Amino acid sequence: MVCYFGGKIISDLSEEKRKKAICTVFALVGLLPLLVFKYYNFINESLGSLLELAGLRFDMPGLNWAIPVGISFFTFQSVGYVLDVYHKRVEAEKDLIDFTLFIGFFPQVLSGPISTAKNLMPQIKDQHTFTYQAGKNGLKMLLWGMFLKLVIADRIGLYVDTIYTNYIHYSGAICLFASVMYTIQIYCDFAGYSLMAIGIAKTLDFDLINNFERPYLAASVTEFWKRWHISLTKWLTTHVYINLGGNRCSKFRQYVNIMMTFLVSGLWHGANFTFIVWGALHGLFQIIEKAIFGDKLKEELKQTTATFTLVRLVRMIVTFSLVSFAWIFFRMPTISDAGAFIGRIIFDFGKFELDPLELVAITALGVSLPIMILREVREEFFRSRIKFLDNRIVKWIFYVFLFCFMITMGVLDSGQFIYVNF
Amino acid sequence: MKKFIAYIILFAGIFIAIDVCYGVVCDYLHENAKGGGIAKRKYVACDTNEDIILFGSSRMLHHYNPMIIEDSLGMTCFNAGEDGNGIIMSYGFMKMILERYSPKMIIYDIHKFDYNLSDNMQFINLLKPFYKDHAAVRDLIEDISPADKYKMKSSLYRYNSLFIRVLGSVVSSSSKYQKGYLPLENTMDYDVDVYAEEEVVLDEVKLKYLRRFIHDCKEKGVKLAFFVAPVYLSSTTSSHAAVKALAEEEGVPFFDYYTYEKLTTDKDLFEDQIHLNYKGADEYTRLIIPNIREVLNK
Repeated sequence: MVCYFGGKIISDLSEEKRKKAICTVFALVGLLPLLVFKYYNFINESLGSLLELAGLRFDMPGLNWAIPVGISFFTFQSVGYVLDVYHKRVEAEKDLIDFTLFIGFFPQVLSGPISTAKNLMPQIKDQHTFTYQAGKNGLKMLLWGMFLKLVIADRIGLYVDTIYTNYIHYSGAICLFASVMYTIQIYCDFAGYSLMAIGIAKTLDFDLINNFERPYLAASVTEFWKRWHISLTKWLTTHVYINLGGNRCSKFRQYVNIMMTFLVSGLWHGANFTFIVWGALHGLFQIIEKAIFGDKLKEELKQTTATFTLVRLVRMIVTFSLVSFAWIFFRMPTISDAGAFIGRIIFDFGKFELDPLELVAITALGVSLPIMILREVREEFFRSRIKFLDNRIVKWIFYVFLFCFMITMGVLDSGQFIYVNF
Repeated sequence: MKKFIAYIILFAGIFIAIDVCYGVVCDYLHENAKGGGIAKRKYVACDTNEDIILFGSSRMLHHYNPMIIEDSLGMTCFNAGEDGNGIIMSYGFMKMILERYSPKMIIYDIHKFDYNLSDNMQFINLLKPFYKDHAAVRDLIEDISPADKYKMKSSLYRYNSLFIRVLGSVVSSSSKYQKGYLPLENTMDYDVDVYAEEEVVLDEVKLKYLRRFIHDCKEKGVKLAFFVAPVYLSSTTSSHAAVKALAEEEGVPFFDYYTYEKLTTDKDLFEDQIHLNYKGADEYTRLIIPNIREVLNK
């Protein structure tokens, strides 16, 4: 409601200074529920610890409220709308029901993608009819998303949870393997959800923003962020990075802007220092890349197709390793746990054993991971070259197999999506 | 739209055909399981005839040596404990046993899986292959997961995550189990702090099945006793206080060795903080023989 009326009031104002002040107020009020629900306890505890260091004690009551599911996503979507109206990227919405639909569009309300009013609002206003093509494509996306989530992410999750919660009992080699597995898990979990959301929307003839573009085939961390959680990256680029000055400033200032943007990204994911470190690492990786490769990287990012070369393969592996390293902080409950986990990998490597990876998991992942990797590699590098995969019968066999395999090998309990927590 | 519906029907038709064939194959393999956990569970459900049956989680599976019980009491005994499971799975298997005969005694080891709140869907997985043939299992599964009434029509779902194990149990007849018991070989070679108890949030569904377990045993004249095995450096028994109160209320003997110092301070007897190794299991089983005898003689 705040953002709906905020948009209307901002669009009615003509004086720029006043408009900016009103926009700031509405954006802050729009962010308030997120700040209270998600960050109150974190700020409270952090302040308490800081004051204790100074020998002071000041207790504020803690909150024990259930956090509304998807609050980070719909808050960013609604605040993004206010900012878009202010910057005249979209007209203020007059119809409250359409606006409510825009914020609460059911496939995306839990975990995104974070849509813009420019993209989604016209679709909400349009008449929609069912088409065979949209229905077919939507169901294919839904099935692939469910396969990623239930067969790969949740199966890996059982293993990763065991290792990460008891890492002290496992060798560094097993911890390293678990960290790589978590890298795959979080991708399949979140991309799986996004594909399901996009697929469901598609069957209703709505086109949501594609949230993932094979991120682990990126050749740099900068490129990774063009492919990972694209809707959040676009939001942060538009509303944080560019507002801070973007890259139209000195090199140093640009680096500060990058770091600030990724600290916000880290904080958006959760009220914990581990997320801040995770964001800072990604900011740092990109600053180093920009300092070393500069314009070459810029040119590379403009290219629409990638060619598979040995150099690119090495860069993909390096990027994957850096991203995996940062995910350790993302997954661990505290910085000291993350440090101890990394310490085991470096100083107590030991020997690798598959235990406690069960035979069921080995079978499920032994089949599903190659399917996922080959599918991604083909789409990235050989899209038009392997023709027989476009054969109708081959496609039918593939989708029937995915469905049957998912039911017999998927983890079909009431597990949740990782990003629902954010 | 017509084309879309036609393809959906075709897809469903292919799926049903595969599902039926898969069911026939899996049922056959399950029926002929010879080794591993699948054969053990089939034995518990369909073939046990022992005097004493042991139920519980991994702390039952690895802590209670049936051979020692048999030798000490001159009775037959089988360990039906399962890793990562508790009262919900145990209740299903107990019902299948009671359909056939009444053991003289059931020993149940209490752990968090028997009272603490969790997603109970995970505890019905091992019962799914028995859904078709056992009404009690059907009732239990549908109570825990009402949607399973429909989902269980699919064989692919019924054997979810089990095909490889079922296949393995037919191919290989070897088994690590000794009358259902699985000894742990390693010794804890690291230091730990006093055992940190999980916060207890009681699960009413689990407590309901614990109560049903007690009532069904009473009804069939089966003597029942609850035990709590030791935990290394445990300091309080408050976590299972609710089950202790339930046992008292129902008149079920409750033997609590959770903080039994003679065992809980000896690292040599443990594989990890909550699991005794084979040395600890043997010592613990010998320790509880008088308690079992006491219950049997009542």
